[in-house]
Amino acid sequence: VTASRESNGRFRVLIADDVDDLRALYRHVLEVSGLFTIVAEAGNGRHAIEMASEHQPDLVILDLAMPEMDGAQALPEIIEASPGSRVVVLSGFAERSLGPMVRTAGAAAFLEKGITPDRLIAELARVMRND
Amino acid sequence: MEPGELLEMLDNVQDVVSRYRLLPTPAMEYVNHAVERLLGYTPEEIYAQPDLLAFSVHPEDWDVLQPFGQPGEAPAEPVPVRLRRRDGSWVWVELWNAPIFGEDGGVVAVAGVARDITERRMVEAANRELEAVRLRQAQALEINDNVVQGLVTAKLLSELGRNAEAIDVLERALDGARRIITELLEGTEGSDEVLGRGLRRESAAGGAM
Repeated sequence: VTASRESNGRFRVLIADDVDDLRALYRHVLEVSGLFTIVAEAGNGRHAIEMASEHQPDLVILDLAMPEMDGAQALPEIIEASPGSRVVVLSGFAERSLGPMVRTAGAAAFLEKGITPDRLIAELARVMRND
Repeated sequence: MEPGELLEMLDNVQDVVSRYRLLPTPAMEYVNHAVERLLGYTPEEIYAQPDLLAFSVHPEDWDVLQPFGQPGEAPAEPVPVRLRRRDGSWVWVELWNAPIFGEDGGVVAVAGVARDITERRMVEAANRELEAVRLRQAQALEINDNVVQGLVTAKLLSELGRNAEAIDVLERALDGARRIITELLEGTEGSDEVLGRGLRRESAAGGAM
């Protein structure tokens, strides 16, 4: 494992998604896994940049379609504000539509929403292991 | 200004200026040299074939050419039409035809001005395409926000064993999907015709049990 962890051994995560229910569910799934702890949440891209700058999380889970500033706009600024973070885009859009674009912009991975909780945890763990 | 000076000036403008005589016999009385730049024909060739300009108008654009009004009426607005160039290509022009009336009130000639608007039409077409792209993006976002996010939430709830909550979310997603479909159909030109035909599918719907 290459990324840093906090004292309890968990990766510190920022979740940016404008759907409150989904943020709560992702928080639950990630925390129950024992691998991640949520240090901040954001409901739009601009807030995500602020939270990334403030918390310097190990992992940012970033939605794309959000109000005020979308995830694609926020992505480069999140990387600039928190250079040590890995950013995983988790979007309702298809990977083939936007995956190449967000990877070029610096995202470590693109995951489609609808992925099962087990698979989500496995993919996020893979990203944090830098496989 | 002397007539010769006037003709010299007309030959140096960018727009095609013409005067087509209808009576006593039809003939192109004057067309400036801009016509060669626009259509590839010299004024002399057009004098020899007086109907050349009229027959170069695209058949689909004849409808936009309005009948002439009466003496004293305001001239018609310029209209966009396509003209066929000598090489077979089409050029968009803004055509302004003004009738010249005789003493008896009848139209004896037509003064015409044609301005090349191909570039403007290309910009307009590009803007329409951009607008269409923006509309498709907005529709994709609407579906994402109101349907996909709901389905994702419901799937996740179901996988966590929270089925009652999942069904609530599914019902909201279904309402969202119905609303979007209604809005899309209401915003579609000819939607009444579409609805009247019963929304016949090109192929069977997938996913329904």
